Amino acid sequence: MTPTRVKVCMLGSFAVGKTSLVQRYVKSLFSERYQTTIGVQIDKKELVIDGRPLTIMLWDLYGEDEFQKLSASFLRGAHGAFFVADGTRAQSVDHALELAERFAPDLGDGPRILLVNKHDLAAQWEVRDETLARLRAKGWLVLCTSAKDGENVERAFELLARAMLERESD
Amino acid sequence: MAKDVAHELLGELEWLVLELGPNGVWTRRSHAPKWLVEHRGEAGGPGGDEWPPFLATFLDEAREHFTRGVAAPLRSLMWCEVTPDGREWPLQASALDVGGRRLVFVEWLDERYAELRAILQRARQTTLEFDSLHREVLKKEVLLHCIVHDLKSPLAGIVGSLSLLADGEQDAARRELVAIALESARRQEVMIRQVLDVFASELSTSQSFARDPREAPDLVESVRSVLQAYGPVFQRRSVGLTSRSLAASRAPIRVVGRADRLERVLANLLENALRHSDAGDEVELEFVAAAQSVELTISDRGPGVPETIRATLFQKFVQSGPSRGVAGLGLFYCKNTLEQWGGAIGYEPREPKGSTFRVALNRALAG
Ligand SMILES: Nc1nc2c(ncn2[C@@H]2O[C@H](COP(=O)(O)OP(=O)(O)OP(=O)(O)O)[C@@H](O)[C@H]2O)c(=O)[nH]1
Ligand SMILES: [Mg+2]
Repeated sequence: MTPTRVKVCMLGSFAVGKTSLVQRYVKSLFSERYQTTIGVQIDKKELVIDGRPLTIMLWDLYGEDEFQKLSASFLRGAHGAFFVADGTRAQSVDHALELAERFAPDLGDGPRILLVNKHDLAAQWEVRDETLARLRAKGWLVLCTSAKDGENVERAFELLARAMLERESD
Repeated sequence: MAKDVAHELLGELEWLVLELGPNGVWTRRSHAPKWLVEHRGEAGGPGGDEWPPFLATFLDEAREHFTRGVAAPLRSLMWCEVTPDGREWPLQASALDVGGRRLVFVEWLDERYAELRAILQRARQTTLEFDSLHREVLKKEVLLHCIVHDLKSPLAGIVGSLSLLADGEQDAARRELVAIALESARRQEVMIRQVLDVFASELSTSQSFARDPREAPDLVESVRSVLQAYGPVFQRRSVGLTSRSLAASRAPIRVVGRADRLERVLANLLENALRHSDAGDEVELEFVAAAQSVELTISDRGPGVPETIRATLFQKFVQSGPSRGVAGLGLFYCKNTLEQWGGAIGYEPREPKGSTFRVALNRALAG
C-alpha cells in the first residue's frame, strides 16, 4: 500500500518550541540550545495508523516576529497544522490564535491543534487553566506539551494524523 | 563557449537552474547540485522525478506565476535541505522570465545565510532575555509588596497599645519613653504606607482618572479635608498650618486627577514639611487658579534641601535631610502621580531658609 502523504505546518511565535517538538517527534532528541529557524525546515515522519501507512511532511516554519512575517503561501497544500505557543509566555497563545485566524482561509477545514508547549516549566507557567478551558469550549483541541520530557508529543501528532486520515477518507 | 562557462560556474556555485517547457515539464539546465543528488538518491534512485518538498511547492507557485505573466521575479522563502551526512544547505529559489524562457534558479546561500541567522538569533534571544527579566522584576515587586503589606499589620496593634499606655498613669520618664515609642511606630506606619502608595501607582500606571469636570476632584475640597486631617498632628508638634487661599475660596476648582490620590499627594507634602519643621515654625499651603491650570505651593521654614541632592530629589529612594528623613518614596510618589495626570512638581529653596514645593495641576474643563 503506498503511504498517504500529508503536509503539516508548525506555526507560532519565535522560540515557542516548534523545531524542538519536531525534533522530539522525529528523532527523539531535545536540546536546550536555541537555534532559530530561518525560512523553513522540512522533516519527514512515517507512521502507520490502524494499518494505514502515512508519511507526514513536517514544515517547521520560522517563528513570526517583527523581523519576519509569515505568508499564506507556506500553507499551500497543507492538510493540517499545529499552532504552537509557549506556556511560559502568555502572549504567545494570543499570537498563535491570531495566526490561526489569519490563516484559516488557507488551511480550509484541515484539522488544527493548539499546542501549549514547555509544560515541564511549571514554575514559570503563565497560561491559566480557564483560558485553555475557554478555548476548548470554542472547539479548539488543546494539548499541553513538553518537547523536553516528551509529554503529549506522540499523542499530538497521532491525533492530528488520525484527523487528517479521517478527512481524506470522507 | 560562453554557455559552457555559465554551466561550469553554476556547477561550482551549487546552483540549480530549471526551465519550464511548453509541455509543462521542468528540465534541468545546470549540473545537479549536491543537495539535489543526495535527495534523489534517497527518494528512489537517480533520475527519480521527485523534487524536494519545498522546491516542489515552489515549482507549483512558479508555474502560476508564469501563467499570470508578471514581469517581476518571484522569490521563495529561504529553506534548508539536509543531506544524509548531516550537512545543511540553505537555499532560496527565484522564478523569472528571461526573454520568453521560463526559468527557476535555486541559489545556495552559504555565508549570507549564516550572517542573517546570527543577527536574527541575537535579536530574538535579546527579546527573550528582556521579557524574562521584565517578568522577574514584576514578580519581585509583587513579592516585596506582600512583605511590606504584612509588615503593616502588627503595627496597628503596637500603636493601639502604646496609645493606651500613653493615656495611663505613669511617671514622667516612662511617659516620655512611651511617647517616643508611639512616635516611632507612627513614623513606621507612614513609611510603610508610602511604600504601598508607590506600588499602587507603579503597578497600575494606567489607572483611571477623571478629566471631565463632572467627575474630576475639587481641589478646594481636597485641601480642606487634608488640612482637617493634619491639623491635630501639626498641633501636637506645635507647628502652624495655614492656608489663606482656602479661607478665601468660594467656588470649587475642578482639576484633572483622582480625589483619593490627590489627597495622598497633599498629605505626603504636608508630612514632608512637618518632618522638617521645628516647634514654632509655620507651614503654608496656598493655591492660585489660572484659566487652564492651578498652582499649589507648600512651604516650610525647615533647613531646605541640600544642593547636592536637589537634582535627584524626586527619584526613588533619595532621602532629604541626613537623619530626619523617612523613606524617600513620598516625593517619588507625588511626581509619578502628578505626571500621570499631566501635572508637575518642582522644588525651590526659600530665603533665608526653608523649602517650597510647587505643584501644577490641569483644570478639568468642559468640552
Ligand atoms: N523547558 C523546555 N524548553 C523548551 C521546550 N521546547 C523548546 N524549548 C526551548 O525553547 C527554545 C526554543 O526552541 P525552538 O524549538 O528552537 O523554538 P522555535 O519555535 O522553533 O523557534 P524559532 O525557530 O525561532 O521560531 C530552545 O532553547 C529550546 O531548548 C520544552 O518543552 N521545555
Ligand atoms: Mg524553529
